[in-house]
Amino acid sequence: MRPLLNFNNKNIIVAGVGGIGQATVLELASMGANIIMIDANEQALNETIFKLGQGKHSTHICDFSKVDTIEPLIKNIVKESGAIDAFVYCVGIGAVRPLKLSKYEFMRTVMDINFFSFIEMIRCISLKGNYNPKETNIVGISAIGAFLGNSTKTAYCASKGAMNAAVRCLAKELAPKNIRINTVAPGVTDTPMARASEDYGSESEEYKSILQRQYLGICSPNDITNAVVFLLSNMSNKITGSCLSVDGGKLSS
Amino acid sequence: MSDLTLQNKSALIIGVHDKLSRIIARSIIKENAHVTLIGSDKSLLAEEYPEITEPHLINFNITDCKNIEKNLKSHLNDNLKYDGVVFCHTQSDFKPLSFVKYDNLSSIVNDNYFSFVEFIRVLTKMKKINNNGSIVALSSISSIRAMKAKMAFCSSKAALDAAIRCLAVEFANKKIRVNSIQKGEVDVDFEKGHIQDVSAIREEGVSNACLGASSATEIANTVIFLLSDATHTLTGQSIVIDGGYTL
Repeated sequence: MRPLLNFNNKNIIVAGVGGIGQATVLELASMGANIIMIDANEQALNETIFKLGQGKHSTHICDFSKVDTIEPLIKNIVKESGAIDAFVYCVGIGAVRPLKLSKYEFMRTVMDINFFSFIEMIRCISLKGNYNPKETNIVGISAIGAFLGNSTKTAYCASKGAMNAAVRCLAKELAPKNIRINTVAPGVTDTPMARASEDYGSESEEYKSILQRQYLGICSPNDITNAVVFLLSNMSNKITGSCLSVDGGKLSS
Repeated sequence: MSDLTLQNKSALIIGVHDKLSRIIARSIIKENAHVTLIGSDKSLLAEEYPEITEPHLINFNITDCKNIEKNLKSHLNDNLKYDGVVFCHTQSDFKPLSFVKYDNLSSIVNDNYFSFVEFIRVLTKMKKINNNGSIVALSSISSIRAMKAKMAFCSSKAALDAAIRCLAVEFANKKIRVNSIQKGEVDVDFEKGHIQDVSAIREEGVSNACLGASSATEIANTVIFLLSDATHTLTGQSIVIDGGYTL
């Protein structure tokens, strides 16, 4: 194992075990990390931990639309597993809805799950004793929707824009604690979330139009995980407050 | 350029109490637009705009998102439609992360983002915005840069700017443009005694901007530019006016 990618015995929280989250859990575990998985869905947690086999892994249930449940959850996790070395936030709700149907309660829920909970988790993890003061790394899964306009996706894009802005500020604020924080912005990725809202059965018109700008093709969850692993590792020691786009060329085209 | 006038245009201005918003409102009035102003403070409204009356001077709590629909339906005259909508309201705060708990963070995101989206949702539902119209929101360079102890404010403005890009695409079929202005330090912000007035931070903001602080009229002029017929195909943009701070 190359020393730059050494996660041996590191305590890593992965919130959300959907397409990208599960791939991230499996990859980090294969590199020796102790994974602390959090998700609202017990079945998804069981499925993931079953795939992991051996190791000091644990699961916790959390409804990310209830931001006030996070503080006691983190206290519990640190008590059980010790200080956290890294944290990846893969929780998100896809939320496709035209503006006229996007009432306040809906906008609020999307923000609670995609953004407010993300911030609350970081606030709690960055309290003294909860993180590794020598080096702690955080990655949030954002989206290229943070940069591009998309009809019917106001709630989703706004939550990702908020995430990116917060990460810029938190990078500066948490640097004295030796905490680095970045985001990864995936393009269209083959996950259950994407399959629910995009129809890209290989010959559909939608698939062809996606490929026009995302010309390297649809991302696999592993493409995203590789970027996460890079940002959590010592290979990215001077990278903080940034957003790494893994988008098959879309943003530049 | 005759396109720059707002003659024969109607504008709805939301959040009109702070000095910059007042200057924007007065500038739009000066360009001969028919304006309707919405503010949360009844006595301030009467004091600041004595010559304007109902139904063009409206008072209700603009950050109470659950009641924006009810309030707009009861206050807006049936016949009134708007070519322009300007969202000027802004709320800010200085707090390091450990103090930014959910209530505080969600309050700032509520005022700067949820409120804007809900206003636009209801106004378009009520068909109050004319085709070929223009929506302008006041944002900040905080949306695109890290600012000390202002994570909540930065996030809320970034959410606002992401929303205007999406709304620009969503309203394109009606030819309604949606843009924001990302301002840096503005001269009138130095005068007021509210939570933004922390002089050391202010001075740093101005000294890092090679052209110095903007004047309020510059911001107002840009709003007018965006509301006018001079910008028919300018949409989904966040125009930076910051004296060069972000360079």
